[in-house]
Amino acid sequence: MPSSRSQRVHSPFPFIGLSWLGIWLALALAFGPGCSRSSSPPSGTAQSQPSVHVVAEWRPPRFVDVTDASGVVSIYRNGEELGERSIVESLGGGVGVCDYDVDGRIDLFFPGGGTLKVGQPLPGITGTLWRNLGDMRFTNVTAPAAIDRADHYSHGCSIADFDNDGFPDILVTGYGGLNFFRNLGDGTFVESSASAGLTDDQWSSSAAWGDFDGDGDLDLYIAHYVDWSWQNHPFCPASIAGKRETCSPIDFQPLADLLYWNNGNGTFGADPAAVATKVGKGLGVIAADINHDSRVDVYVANDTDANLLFLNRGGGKFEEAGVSSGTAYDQRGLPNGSMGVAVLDYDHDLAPDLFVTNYENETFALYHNEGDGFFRCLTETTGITALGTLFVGFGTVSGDFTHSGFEDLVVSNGHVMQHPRNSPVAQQPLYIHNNGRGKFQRAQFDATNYFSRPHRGRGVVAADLDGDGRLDLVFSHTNEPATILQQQTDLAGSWLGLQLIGRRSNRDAIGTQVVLDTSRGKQLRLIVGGGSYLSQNPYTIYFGLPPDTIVAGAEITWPDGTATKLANLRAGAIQRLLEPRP
Amino acid sequence: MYGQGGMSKRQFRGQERTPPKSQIEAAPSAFRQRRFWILIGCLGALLVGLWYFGSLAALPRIMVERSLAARDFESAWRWTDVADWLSYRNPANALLTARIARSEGDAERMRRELKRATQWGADPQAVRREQLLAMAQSGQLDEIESELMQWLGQSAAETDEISDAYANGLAAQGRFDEALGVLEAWRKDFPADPRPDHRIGRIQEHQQRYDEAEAHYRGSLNRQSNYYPSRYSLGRVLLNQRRADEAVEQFRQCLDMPLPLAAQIQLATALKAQGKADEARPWLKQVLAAPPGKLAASYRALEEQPELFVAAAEYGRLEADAGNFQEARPWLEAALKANPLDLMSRYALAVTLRGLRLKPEADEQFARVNASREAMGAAGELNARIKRNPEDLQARLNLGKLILTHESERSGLYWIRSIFAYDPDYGPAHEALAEYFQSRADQDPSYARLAAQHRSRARAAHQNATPP
Repeated sequence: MPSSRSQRVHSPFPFIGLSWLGIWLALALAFGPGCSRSSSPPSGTAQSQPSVHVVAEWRPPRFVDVTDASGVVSIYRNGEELGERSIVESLGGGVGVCDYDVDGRIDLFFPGGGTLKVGQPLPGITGTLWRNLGDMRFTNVTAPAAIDRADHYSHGCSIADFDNDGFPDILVTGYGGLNFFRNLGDGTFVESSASAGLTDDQWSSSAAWGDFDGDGDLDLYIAHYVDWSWQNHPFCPASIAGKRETCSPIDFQPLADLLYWNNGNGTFGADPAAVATKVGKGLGVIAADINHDSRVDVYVANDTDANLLFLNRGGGKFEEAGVSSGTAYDQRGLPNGSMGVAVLDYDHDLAPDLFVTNYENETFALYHNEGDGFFRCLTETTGITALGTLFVGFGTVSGDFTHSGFEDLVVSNGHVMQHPRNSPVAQQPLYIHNNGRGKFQRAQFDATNYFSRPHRGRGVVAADLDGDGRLDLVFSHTNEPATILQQQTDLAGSWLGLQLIGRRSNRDAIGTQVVLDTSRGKQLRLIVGGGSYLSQNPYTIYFGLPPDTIVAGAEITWPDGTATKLANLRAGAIQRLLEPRP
Repeated sequence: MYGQGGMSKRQFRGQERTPPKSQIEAAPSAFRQRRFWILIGCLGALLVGLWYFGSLAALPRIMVERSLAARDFESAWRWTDVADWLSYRNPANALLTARIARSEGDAERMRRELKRATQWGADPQAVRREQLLAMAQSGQLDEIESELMQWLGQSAAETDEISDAYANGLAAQGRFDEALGVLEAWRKDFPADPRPDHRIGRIQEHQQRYDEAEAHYRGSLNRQSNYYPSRYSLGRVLLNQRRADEAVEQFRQCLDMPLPLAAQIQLATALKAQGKADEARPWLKQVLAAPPGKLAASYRALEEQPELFVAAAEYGRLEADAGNFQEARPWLEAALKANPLDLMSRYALAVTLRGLRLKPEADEQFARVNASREAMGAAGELNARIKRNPEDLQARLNLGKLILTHESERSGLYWIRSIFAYDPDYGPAHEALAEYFQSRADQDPSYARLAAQHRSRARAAHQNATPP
């Protein structure tokens, strides 16, 4: 038999080839890239969980769109049909609530907007006032109430009893001037901007009432936006070739805000210098005692500029402390396109925190009050960053909608551009649930729900429109009918409402802090001026009470710092409380 | 072996031989032994011959190219060492080494290797082409563009390298539409190559066309699912759009790469965005414990600029957000020492100092952030001017200087260099660059050279502009 070994060595070349290859293979193993390996998670890493945290015990509230049945037909018009894509068209309009006729039911007011004529002043469209008839039905009383007037292209409304006569008055902001409707107490209004000295002719967005000098009368903070005009109307190209797009606010200069001091005699005096130390492109403003020193401060949400925190130092003086307080920028130290603002104590540490809505590609900002006038932006750690997709957020409100004892947040979203690149023009609003453990998450609704459908959202308010103790919602949109959502959730637990009436202080008690003491801990509420975006919430405050909660009492700190302790508060009702006389 | 029962060979030879059962079991004959040594000799001669003519290094050079394609620079350098060992002073080796250096962005090393290649007899055209690729890659297209385009038209074999460098150079000059054109052509010619889609995605991401960028990154991954630069970039785009859940998925897949440190940082960032700071923390700690060289290599493997102090900055910010101010402070200070323009970290430090109740120190940091932000407030308007008129060179220059001073050196240089796409001889831009490079000449010898070049161009521009 032939030697197999001799057969194997029959041809040297394969042998050489194999040997040659073998050398290199050996070298490759020695020097080549290491085997790919997965990095093992370092110790201490929790196993990754599914991305959506499902909180089995909490269900979103049930909101039903009752707009059609309510009789309310209100569409804010911005004049975009002209095709100019002016930045004026981007702001939209707000919504205000008040009991204008003091019949115990909350009424609605919507600014009307305006039209555009190139090179001409911007004509306004009359707003609408809707009287609450009960059972979520409303009737249009604009004409009978003599509020059917719009001298300017309108945006927002801010409502308060400026003269402490018991009847709320309505301020309408806009481009080129203000309309101020003084409530005569007989179901009608009289336009009084000129006679009251409210002659501001700048482009105003949001406004906030507050007694800044502590004299018992409500003063007025007006946020101004940018220096757009027909003479300053640049062409900004759209993402679609040849099309025009709404310009960004960075194409314009900011306008300084304005403070009006209430003279106490039905007139106001403008004080441009009071808050002119810093300027920004103001869109949202809130007046509240942020640092618990019994003086009403002002926080302004600016668009692409640092937000401003004017701390009231008394004597009519403000100190701007946005940067040093940590509320000017987001957690990256960047100014955002800020629009709306809400105040809430989300973690029950009895210090008011701030929530600000921002532009797409930015997150909404949650500023946690650390005390001593300092805030930390905890957007990421509280889960706000994880809300997902790109929203352009405007109006926002906080409220304990489900009687959980913690306030949730609602945001109205909608783009400002006609051809945005990264997110749609119409956007879903957000209901953001506070789980009571320092985290927020977005609530999901069925496909037919208002919250699941896109809208060109702007303002939003939360109010108990039907007096059933459940907070309802009203949204304003651009070129889309306003929406009224009645809350019909079958809620466990209870609630408690407080309507505070100032006697030494301003009648609406703006600037008051209330701490409710319950068997499940304490809850803080503030009565604020302004808030949301271009909108006005009611001054009545609501507390949600989880099941089996016992209310021990409440402590009210009135705007002048005096405190009132209350006991024997009844759950399930709104209680009206008068400020003690001096 | 030959003996029975433990006998030695000598003992066995003295014994009467027992005939073998088969020839296969027979001891190797003298012929077989001779043949064996002849083969060894031939092999040795072959090896010597291969070594002499430099062919022995062919396989390691193939391995270098493969490592380069996979962006595994560590492996590429190791194989070049093997190639050098096997074929000393081989110009082909030097050319490849130059290419690795170019891919890593090490211009100085590239120049040295090309010099060596020339000295060792490399084809001058091959050397020139490496130089062209390097210049193209860094955006210095003015003098070489026509030559580059000619080469692109001629060389089918190197279309990918040329297209890559050329598109990079066009993008560096802000000529994005042209860059996209080059990349689209590359994509068409090389449908299996994941790189063109990745490069297109990067440009679109820069232009904030996130949906399109995402689509191209995904397209790249469809071509090669383990092309980590695209997966990393996809994660980044998702994170920028607040899609943290999806971003986490992408970065987790990047952990399979040989050096995942850079991806770990992004994973931690994404986890933080989900509100999972506790999960993010260990990933960052792991990165912080790794040698800086490994982190830099990790970034290069992802075709990203190494950002060695991002982990420190992220960790500091994470701890600041968690209220662990004592822990946060040293990391933020270290991050700022490495990159004083990092405003995010500076702001986080200000918040940290405030949290430590060090108000004066905090106010100082807040003031610095505020000053930069206010200065950068003009950037928006400049950007708007450029959008309206891309040829507003003064606006580009002002924006570039602003960003260079207050935000980012890389971005600032990009804006200044973008001017040359419209006017290669724009004097003020050359002056600005001369000033920048001169101020950093002690950091890198090539900077002094660049400063001189730009000074010369600025002088020439001034002379041309001055009326006789």
